[in-house]
Amino acid sequence: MGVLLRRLMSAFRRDRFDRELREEMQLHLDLRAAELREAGLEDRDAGAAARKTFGNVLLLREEAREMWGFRFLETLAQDLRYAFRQIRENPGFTAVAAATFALGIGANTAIFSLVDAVILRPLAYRQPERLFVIHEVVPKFNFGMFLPVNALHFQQWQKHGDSFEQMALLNGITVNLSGDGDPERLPAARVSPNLFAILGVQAQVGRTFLSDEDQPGRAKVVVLSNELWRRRFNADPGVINRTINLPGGAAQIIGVLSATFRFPKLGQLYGMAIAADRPQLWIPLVLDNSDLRPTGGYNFATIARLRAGVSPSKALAELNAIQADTENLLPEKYDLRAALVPLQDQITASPGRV
Amino acid sequence: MLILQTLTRHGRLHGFEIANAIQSRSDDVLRVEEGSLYPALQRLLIQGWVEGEWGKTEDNRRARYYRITSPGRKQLERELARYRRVSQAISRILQPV
Repeated sequence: MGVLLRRLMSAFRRDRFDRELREEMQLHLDLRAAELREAGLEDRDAGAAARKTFGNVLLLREEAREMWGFRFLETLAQDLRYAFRQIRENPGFTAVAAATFALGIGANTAIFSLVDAVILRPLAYRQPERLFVIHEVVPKFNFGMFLPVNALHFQQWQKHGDSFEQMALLNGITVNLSGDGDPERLPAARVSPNLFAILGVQAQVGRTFLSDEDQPGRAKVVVLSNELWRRRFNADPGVINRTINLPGGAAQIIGVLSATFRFPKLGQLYGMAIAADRPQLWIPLVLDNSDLRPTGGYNFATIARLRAGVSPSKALAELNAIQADTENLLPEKYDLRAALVPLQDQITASPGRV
Repeated sequence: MLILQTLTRHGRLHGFEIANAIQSRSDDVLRVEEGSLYPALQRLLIQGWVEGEWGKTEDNRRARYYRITSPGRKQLERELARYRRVSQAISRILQPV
């Protein structure tokens, strides 16, 4: 048994400790007095003489108690009682102090979350400095603030632009997942099949999408996040080819992303506040005619990979030229433009507009 | 050191017996405040060099009997060695010329 342990155990039996020490000392005094009586002293004198040779009983007891560290515990208990009394008597001060702590801790947490997201985990994509988010700008609507992307405009950029290797359209939905366990609502992303190629990300198990899997009429397929795969499917590699029930019907699981793959909350990809979480499921974005109206339907985010050797400002100029042509498809003049933001800046909300 | 040595010699003693043993052994030269024995015993208990156990005296009173432990014996050896070194040094210095 260690010294510390002995001290601690004794602390819980302080009364007993005191009683025993007192008893021990009393015995000593009695025996000494008896000895002196035998030597011929009067009762009273014997007791006094015994006490005299013994020394100051109270002081010695105190000394023994201190040796065990009780003094420390008693002082601590006193301090705590005082602290609680102060808290009760000064609720205003306490509230201010608590709020100060809360804010301090909160700010710290926020900053460290940010540091974690920004510095400790830079985008783990291939050549992330060439990844950009494209926004629409329609000054006539909202004084030049960013808008999400219209799918038809996106197709014009794809068709007529040359500055980007590839670009992908995506948006978030919430799906009810059923089959294999309890039904649950999950954030999902509908994405162009080339999104993973743009990011330079491969599946850990199975595959990601084929380039034509966004065409209407194709069999429904789904890619799982690693987290969902571990949580709901026990990290079973045999999930590939299994089907799960999604709102649009049964979909075949074709792949699982790696645990190191991190994707921002979808809301972070838009130029305006949109609540959309980190996707747990990925399904191909199949566009229908209602998505391909020339105006309205500003519903999507766009991630594009800039071609090597092309400057972002040149790419933006090209996008704006295409937007000007796209105006011809619109019923009236909107002064349509585009904005280009590095993906990293978009996610960290730092001002990095090209 | 004195307490540990006394317990090594006598085995199992209560406080009063320890005090008496030390005094008689030293021919009453070492006659400190007897009570200071008790804080000292507490210190040895904390260190684990002695252990205490309640028992009955000859005239049937409760008393705590102390016994040296094996860490206590080691400690005693260390202290004796140190004491011998110091006392030899002192006696060499004090040797008549």
